[in-house]
Amino acid sequence: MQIVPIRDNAENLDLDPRIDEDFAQLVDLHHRDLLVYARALVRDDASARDIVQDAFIAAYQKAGTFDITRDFATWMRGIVRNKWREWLRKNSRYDLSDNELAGIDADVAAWQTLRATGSSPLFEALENCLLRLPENLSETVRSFYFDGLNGDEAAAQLSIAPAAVRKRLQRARRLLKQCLDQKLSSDT
Amino acid sequence: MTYDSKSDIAPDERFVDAALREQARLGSVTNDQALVTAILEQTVQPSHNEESSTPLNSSRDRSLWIAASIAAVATISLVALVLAQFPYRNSSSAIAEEIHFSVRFMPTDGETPAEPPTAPAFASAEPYSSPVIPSTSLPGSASQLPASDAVIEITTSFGPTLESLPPRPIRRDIFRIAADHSSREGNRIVYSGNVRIEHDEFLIEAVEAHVRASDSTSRSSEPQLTAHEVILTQFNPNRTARAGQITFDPTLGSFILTNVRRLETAEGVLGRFEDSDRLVISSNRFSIETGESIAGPQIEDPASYAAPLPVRP
Repeated sequence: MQIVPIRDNAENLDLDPRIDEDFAQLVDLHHRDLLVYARALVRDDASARDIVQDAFIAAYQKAGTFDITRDFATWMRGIVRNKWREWLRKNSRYDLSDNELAGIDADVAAWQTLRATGSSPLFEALENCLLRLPENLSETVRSFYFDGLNGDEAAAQLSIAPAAVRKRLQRARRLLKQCLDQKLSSDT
Repeated sequence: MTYDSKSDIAPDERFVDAALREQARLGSVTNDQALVTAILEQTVQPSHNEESSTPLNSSRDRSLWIAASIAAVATISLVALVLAQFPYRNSSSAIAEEIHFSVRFMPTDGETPAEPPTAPAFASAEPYSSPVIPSTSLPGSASQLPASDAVIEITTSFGPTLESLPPRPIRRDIFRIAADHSSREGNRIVYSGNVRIEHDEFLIEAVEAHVRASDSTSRSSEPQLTAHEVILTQFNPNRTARAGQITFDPTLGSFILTNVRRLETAEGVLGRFEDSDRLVISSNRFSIETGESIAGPQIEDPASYAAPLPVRP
């Protein structure tokens, strides 16, 4: 796992979540990174959106307790994590170890930090990395993620076995992760 | 064996998996506007529906600030309306209007109908004459609709005021349209540039939208609202659809999408549509109509009945 220094909130456009206009900007700035975070934790789009929505509402209600010298993104990830734990208790779903959770947290944190400084955000980097995938992996990713096919349907479309789809996706995700980490290194 | 993608992803791949899904859902630069709106409505811009007020309203300072903001917005709207006496001229500044679609179901027998039964349904729109005031009513959900062959009257009006209608069954759908530009073309008003059409249950984002104007008379089957290159978001249940065109059918309270590219629901994602497929979405159901058949979770199989027993002599 790559270690990326988390920067101080002073660089974060001086937005104060206790001020309504600033809070609205912070929602705009951070909601998609937090969606990725929540999606990685719960593995379900609808639940991820619920968690992010609840987390921002909780943040707004507790904005008076926020220390402006601290990092808003870190604070929000903490709230999302708490909401996820509540969700785990209610739904009796799969849990993550502390190390696994820390790994996901570090990945999202790194990209949130870049976004806060105005550099290339996650999705643009991911778009570039997708273009660099080998063709066979790229078409599998396209079928599975972007065309919305399930594994069996993607296998039928690509005329390969479902197990091969699984392997290709696994390899594609690992290559994309390497590519994203390289971009992070160059940007930081 | 069915390949279950969820169980095959290692924890260290979850971040990329989630980023890919989010990228596939909204692309690189688009915000999740429905989510942002939902968050803001429960935080800095509380819903106009007082029943859904949050504990935030307990903060006196915040409430005062919000009330002052609303008053300021209303004042600005009033000034803008006075300055712009005719709202449909070409404009380079962003505009926002409220449109009511009201469908009145006329009696077909028994009482005397207000219009001859053979007369076409009437559709009209009038420019508003007062500031846009957010509505607290729940459109389209209050009345039970009569049979689909009832004679109907459709009224399209602009602005929050609606003249009293006779006590007939009425369904009313209120839309607020915001766009960069608006202009009048014949009997239609054309909105273009960052078009956002808000309804209590839906949000439509489009490149362009057309609305039938006040002095038009038409049969009910003609679309009152059409938009192109759209993303339709339904808030509850959560559904998102992307399509080339959407029309609104005020008689059914349904949106009809054509050239559908993608439909996301809590149950999954549909990404393969034929050009001839139509996606019909309303408050509590959706269905996909193909050229040959109709599919969808709420479509029931046609009922069949056994032949009656032969009558004995």
